[in-house]
Amino acid sequence: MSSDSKIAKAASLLLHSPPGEVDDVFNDIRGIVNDDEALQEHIEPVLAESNMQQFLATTVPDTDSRVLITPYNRVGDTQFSDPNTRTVFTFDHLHRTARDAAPWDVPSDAQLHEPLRQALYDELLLYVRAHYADGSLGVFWHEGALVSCIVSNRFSPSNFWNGSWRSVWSFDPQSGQLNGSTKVRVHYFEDGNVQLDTQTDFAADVEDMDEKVRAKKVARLIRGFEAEFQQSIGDGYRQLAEKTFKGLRRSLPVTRSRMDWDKVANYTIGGELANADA
Amino acid sequence: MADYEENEQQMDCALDLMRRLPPQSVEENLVTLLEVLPELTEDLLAAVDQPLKVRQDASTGKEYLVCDYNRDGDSYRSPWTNTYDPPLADGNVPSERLRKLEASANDAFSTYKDLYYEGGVSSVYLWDMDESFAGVVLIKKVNDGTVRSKGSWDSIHVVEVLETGRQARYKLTSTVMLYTVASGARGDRQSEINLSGSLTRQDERELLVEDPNAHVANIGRMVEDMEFKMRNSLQEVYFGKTHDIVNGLRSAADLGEAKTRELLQRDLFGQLKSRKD
Repeated sequence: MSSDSKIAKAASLLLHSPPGEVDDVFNDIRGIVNDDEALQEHIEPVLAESNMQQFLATTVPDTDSRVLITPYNRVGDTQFSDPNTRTVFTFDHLHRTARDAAPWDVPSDAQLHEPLRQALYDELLLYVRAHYADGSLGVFWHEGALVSCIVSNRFSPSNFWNGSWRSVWSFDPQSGQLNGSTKVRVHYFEDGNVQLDTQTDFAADVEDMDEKVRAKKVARLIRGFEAEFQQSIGDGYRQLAEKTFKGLRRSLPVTRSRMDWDKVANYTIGGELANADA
Repeated sequence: MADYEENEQQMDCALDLMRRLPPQSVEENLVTLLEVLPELTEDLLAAVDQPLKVRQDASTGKEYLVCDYNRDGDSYRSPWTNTYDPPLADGNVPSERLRKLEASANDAFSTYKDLYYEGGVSSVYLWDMDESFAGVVLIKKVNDGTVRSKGSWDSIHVVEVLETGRQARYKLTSTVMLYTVASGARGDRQSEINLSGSLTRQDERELLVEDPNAHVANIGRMVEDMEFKMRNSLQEVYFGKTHDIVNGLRSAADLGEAKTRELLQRDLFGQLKSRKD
């Protein structure tokens, strides 16, 4: 394998980082490649991809508006838009900082759907505040649909764990179709490496109605689906703990006492080992 | 940077990476690392734990587990026949004295495995060292009986033994890999709940060795105690801790309502208290 493809392969591992550990994985990759210059050209697109996948939250320069970095509000190669403040800004994926905010020339179809977008954003904000203690929300008009992104992260590396809940919901106002998927990832790493990886997707139809009512309906459906998913995760845990885990190894033998090693060892060796030493 | 230093740094980073990358794809992750660091192949294969693979003795039909410790080139040694598959003219085998101990350890741990796992496969491999010997106790159990969920348990217990007269010091490093998968609400693969990984613990004891047999019993009790502790830790971490973290990411109940209820309770408590006073 050429040196260049080895570096590209190493860089791609970044996309598998557990939540909150991109920097640690990046440092490991740096240590393995041991050639910062060569790594630089491979790592930047990967960092951009990683930040967008994680729905990284940042602050729009000169405002206190928080906005998510996602594939759905990307403008050109290095810019992102914030529909709430109608600005575009440049994002440095390596340092994770935003700069050079400027007024956003909102495309006409986005303009057209702005009232619905705003209504949906307001409804979902109520929902996110009610169910995600540290959640962030973004609603963007993207390629003919309103895309809502919800992300909730809890990072506690000093306690050796990190977790992330990420939802993306796409609503096409013309067809009335609502499609979404949620991904949950948890990493526990005190003297080990334990990870939860689960995701699901949903679909529903929402008929044409008054904008504000429609936004409420969409938000209610999202809330319902996500609650159902959280419930099914709980059911899954119960199944794994009570059936799967118990079926792997008993806590004690059927005899209800520990193994008698002296009896077994003597029985199986017989006189063999004693003879060997004689 | 000197070659040796560079290799050590790369090894450290590779091992740290393996502790962060999803255990669900541990084999693919290792393959990627081997492609990126082919010069560290032997070291990585020895240091990175992988789910154990099962092989079968052609002659007896007995199953055994394979890992780096019973590998010589591309062949693996059976603990039941002490021969390599594919055959090797002069593959690595333990000394005669050690082989006797290894054979009795395999029998003892086979009983242990039946008592606790009610199935599964076990294997013990010993190897001579300068001052004494070392070994690994392997156990694998797979539970894929139901449609709704499946799992597998892999125990890898590495023990270093230092004999000093009628005593011996045992250093045990144990890893248990636990993979569990439940099908999602609609029973499809799309919404699986995959909870997998491993925990590692260590123990050290100095015990009497009245006769050579004692090693099997000493190691046996250490492994049994260790698995007892680890089973509890696994249960706590997997089905307690990680679930708590999920419920911390999203609250099933309305946070606002919970807060209002809390304030109401505090208010009520305050009123009751002032009535008592």
